Amino acid sequence: MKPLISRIGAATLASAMSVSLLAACSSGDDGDGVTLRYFWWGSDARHAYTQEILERFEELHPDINVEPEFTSWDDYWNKLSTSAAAQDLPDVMQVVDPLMYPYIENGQLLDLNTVADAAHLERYSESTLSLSTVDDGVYAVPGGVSGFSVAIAPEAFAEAGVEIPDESTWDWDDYIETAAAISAANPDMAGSDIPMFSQVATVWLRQHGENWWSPDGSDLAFTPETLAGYWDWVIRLRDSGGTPSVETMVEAHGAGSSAAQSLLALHKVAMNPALATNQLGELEETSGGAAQLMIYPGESDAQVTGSFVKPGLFYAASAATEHPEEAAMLLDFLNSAEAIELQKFDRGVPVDPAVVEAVSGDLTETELAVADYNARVTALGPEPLPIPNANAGGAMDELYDRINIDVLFDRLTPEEAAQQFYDGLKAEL
Amino acid sequence: MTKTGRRMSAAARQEERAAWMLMAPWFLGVVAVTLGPLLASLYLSFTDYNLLSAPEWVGLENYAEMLRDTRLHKALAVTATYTFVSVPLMLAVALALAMLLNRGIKGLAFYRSVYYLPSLLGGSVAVGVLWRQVFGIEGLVNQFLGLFGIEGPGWIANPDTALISLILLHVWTFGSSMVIFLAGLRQIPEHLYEAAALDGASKREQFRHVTVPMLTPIIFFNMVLGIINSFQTFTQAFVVSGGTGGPSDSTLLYSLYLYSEAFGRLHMGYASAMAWLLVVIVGVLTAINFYFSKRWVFYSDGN
Amino acid sequence: MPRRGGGTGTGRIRRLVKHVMLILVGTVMIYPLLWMVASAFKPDALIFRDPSLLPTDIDLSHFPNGWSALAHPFSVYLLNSAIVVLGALIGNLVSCSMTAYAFARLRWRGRKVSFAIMLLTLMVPIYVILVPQYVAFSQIGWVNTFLPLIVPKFLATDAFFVFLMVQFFRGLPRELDEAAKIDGAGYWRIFFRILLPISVPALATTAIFTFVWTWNDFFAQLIYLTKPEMQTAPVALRNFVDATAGASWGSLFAMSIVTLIPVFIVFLVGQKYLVKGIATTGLK
Repeated sequence: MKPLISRIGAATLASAMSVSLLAACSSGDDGDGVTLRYFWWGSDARHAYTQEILERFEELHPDINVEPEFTSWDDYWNKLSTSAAAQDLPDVMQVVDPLMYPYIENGQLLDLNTVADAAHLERYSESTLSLSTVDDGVYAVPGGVSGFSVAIAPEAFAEAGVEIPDESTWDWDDYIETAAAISAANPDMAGSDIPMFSQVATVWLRQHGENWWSPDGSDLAFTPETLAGYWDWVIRLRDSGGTPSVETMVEAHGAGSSAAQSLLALHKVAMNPALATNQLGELEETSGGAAQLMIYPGESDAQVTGSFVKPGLFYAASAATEHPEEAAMLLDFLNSAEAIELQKFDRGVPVDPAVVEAVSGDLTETELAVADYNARVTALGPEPLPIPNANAGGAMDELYDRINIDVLFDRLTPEEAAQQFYDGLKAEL
Repeated sequence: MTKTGRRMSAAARQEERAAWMLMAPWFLGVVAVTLGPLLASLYLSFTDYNLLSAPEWVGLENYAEMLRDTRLHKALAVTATYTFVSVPLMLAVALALAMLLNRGIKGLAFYRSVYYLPSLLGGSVAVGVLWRQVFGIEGLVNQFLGLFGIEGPGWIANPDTALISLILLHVWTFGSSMVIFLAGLRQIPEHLYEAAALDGASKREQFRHVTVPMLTPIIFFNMVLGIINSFQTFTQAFVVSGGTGGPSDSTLLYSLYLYSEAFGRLHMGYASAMAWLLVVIVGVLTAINFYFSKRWVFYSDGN
Repeated sequence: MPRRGGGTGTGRIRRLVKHVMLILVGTVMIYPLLWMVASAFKPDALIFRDPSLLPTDIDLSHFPNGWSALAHPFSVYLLNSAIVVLGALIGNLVSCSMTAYAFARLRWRGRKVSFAIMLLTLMVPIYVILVPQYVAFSQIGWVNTFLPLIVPKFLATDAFFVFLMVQFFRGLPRELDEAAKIDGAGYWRIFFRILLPISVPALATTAIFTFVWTWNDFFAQLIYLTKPEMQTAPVALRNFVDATAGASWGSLFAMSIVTLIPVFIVFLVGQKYLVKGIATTGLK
């Protein structure tokens, strides 16, 4: 391939596209110290405390200098892939499934087994590392456990005179009935969001003993029939009168997953079936009232637990870093009690129970509620999620989004939709 | 001015030398900055390239894939509709307001600035939120319709109307074209109007026989660039649909799809092939535009 | 200006109608902006719940909070933007006008091919050339400097403005250059003394657009400037909203307004030059 590019001309490019050793050294030594670049996504609050964390790290390690780089989620991945193309990945970076798998597959991330001591891998249980372990290599450590939950506004239930269901016994029909009852009692409010993301479907599949992916991620592990059953339930929910109009839902969905703009925060619904639990704080702040996290319906009847918690994000090091030991030390520090003191549960509940214990003194009620929800889910003994397929994993959300909206607008029947989704995803494998 | 002939051969050489000196920055720019990446993307369009490892030559496979890719066809249809509706609409609005604001009204500067304000926002993150305040279910448009007892649809949320709102968003930022028209109008020499007035031409005749012909180079410019730019529209569609092109791909503009293939799916080779298909399409449209321009665009330089 | 509506009664009514229409349309046009201004003064919890344009309790905290929410005070980002914009502005004015003059007025071998190549560069989506460009710039160590954002502008790579000025120059009567040529003026003299002075509207358009577009452009700035202290205002603005970690909408709107003010002022000032054309240069 190289002779061909040079033939094209463009001397600048020719040398650039071919693999070059020169490029990776922008984070070289300066003086006798070591400089690391750490890149993460987040909002202004996260940027602020993360820089404080890095300052603490530098105090502990005066010979290491950490250059912060940050941006928002929307910009993060194109920036990361562009720097990967220039062989210029930051030394340490925040990653998440499924987008991290192409990086792992293409050898961009450091196998942390090579720096296991500095990274203190023994702090992490096998199950919290399962998503970042590929072919025995550990390519990232979890930054915190997070998950999705049914979030409800108890005030709205009280106002409508509807009793809050018992999370240990409710089933999917109860969910619809509860939603419809609230809508019926309060003309200004609907019972529940229509789920727009795939998380509720994930729970549904798991309760039926299925999963999106086979354990090694090489194939699909669900049947169109089960997925059609889920969409059938969605349609029943939609038609029960217990939800806002489809258009309202699609509009709110287009606004993104920001909790501040969610219908629950705007007092337009009483239940949100897919709240990312790390956003509970923002939700409560903007809605001006407490919210309660509930386990998904149907768990008591299901053979297998559907609800799940998983690392909400991971920290990884670049395979090309010149300072793997120092990078591993930073990875470790990001999960230390000193860091979590500043960070709290913004990146999820810390995976190390000792760290949770160390900071438990100054946690808010919201943070305790999230930790408690995680504990309740864990008590149900959920199986860890399988690793998504490296190719198809990135295509899934987009495909789901499109087909789900087609179902809601009656452009596809649940059966057609499930088949289309199955075939579409299969084609991406 | 083709009659220079051989009488001027020394002068012609001098002209040529002056031209090359004037063009020197551009030539340097093309070679050093533009052409390299351009050719690289052409090369990449024949490869399987995910940004994370070296590109692999796959020949014409990406181009063959484009024939089969139904989402790509959908994106082309959406983009064509978007372009051929919004560009004429925007140019008409921009030209009308430029004429209106050109002269003879008090508070000109104020109006011009107000109308240009939306264009200043560009593709800011805030645009998506703001646009929802206009076209949302409880937005301005439906509140207005509500005054007449009409219950408007969720313009952005409904796959049948989402593209309309996107087109209007494009028209909303007509300010840039308006400014170019205004500049063009001011460049029309006053003496042409005076001469026309002396010949007894009415305002309307002056408009038809002086303003329009003298403005044709600028109308042509706005049209060519309008088409090129709207085929490349990205940011507005991205912020309004949250990057999905939804609902149901109804706002899946070509560039949005290209972007999601390039950076979302890391199919940079395929995205490069898509880019070159776009170049061919827009290039043909531009060539057609130039071809027909000879019939209606009037240049004062006589060429 | 010689042509004005008469002072008759119907003329006055027509003018009034014109103004009412202009104001009505204008209000609709800037309604979203008014909403943004109102939101910048509302407490975060009310921004999406209270749709009114007149906030009931005014919350000024978003401005100081937003100003200091990120790694550096917002002035740093505004200053960075100003540097990039200034460089781009000078670069575009100088290089694009030179190139346009050669395209529009001079005859030379390769003109047509070059013109076609210039148009071609307009048609390629930036997202596929950005990566090779980034790789090249990173090889020469220009990442985290303003150079990749400024230097290309001095090389007339902004084909939009080259084409724009070509169209303007071609709209100018050729007798002007011919007369100067007969007087013995060289090409550079014609360019500087004859064409540029009467092209003030075109230059002003280029200047205003370069300013506005560079000020607002985040994509290239995002990719090339990774250090927090190098970030520009539009890049910094994007840090207020994160799809996974939450959002500070109030701060975003407040700082969006702060970022908008300089461009608006530039437009207010710059637009005067849009209307200084031939009419003011004595070339009637």
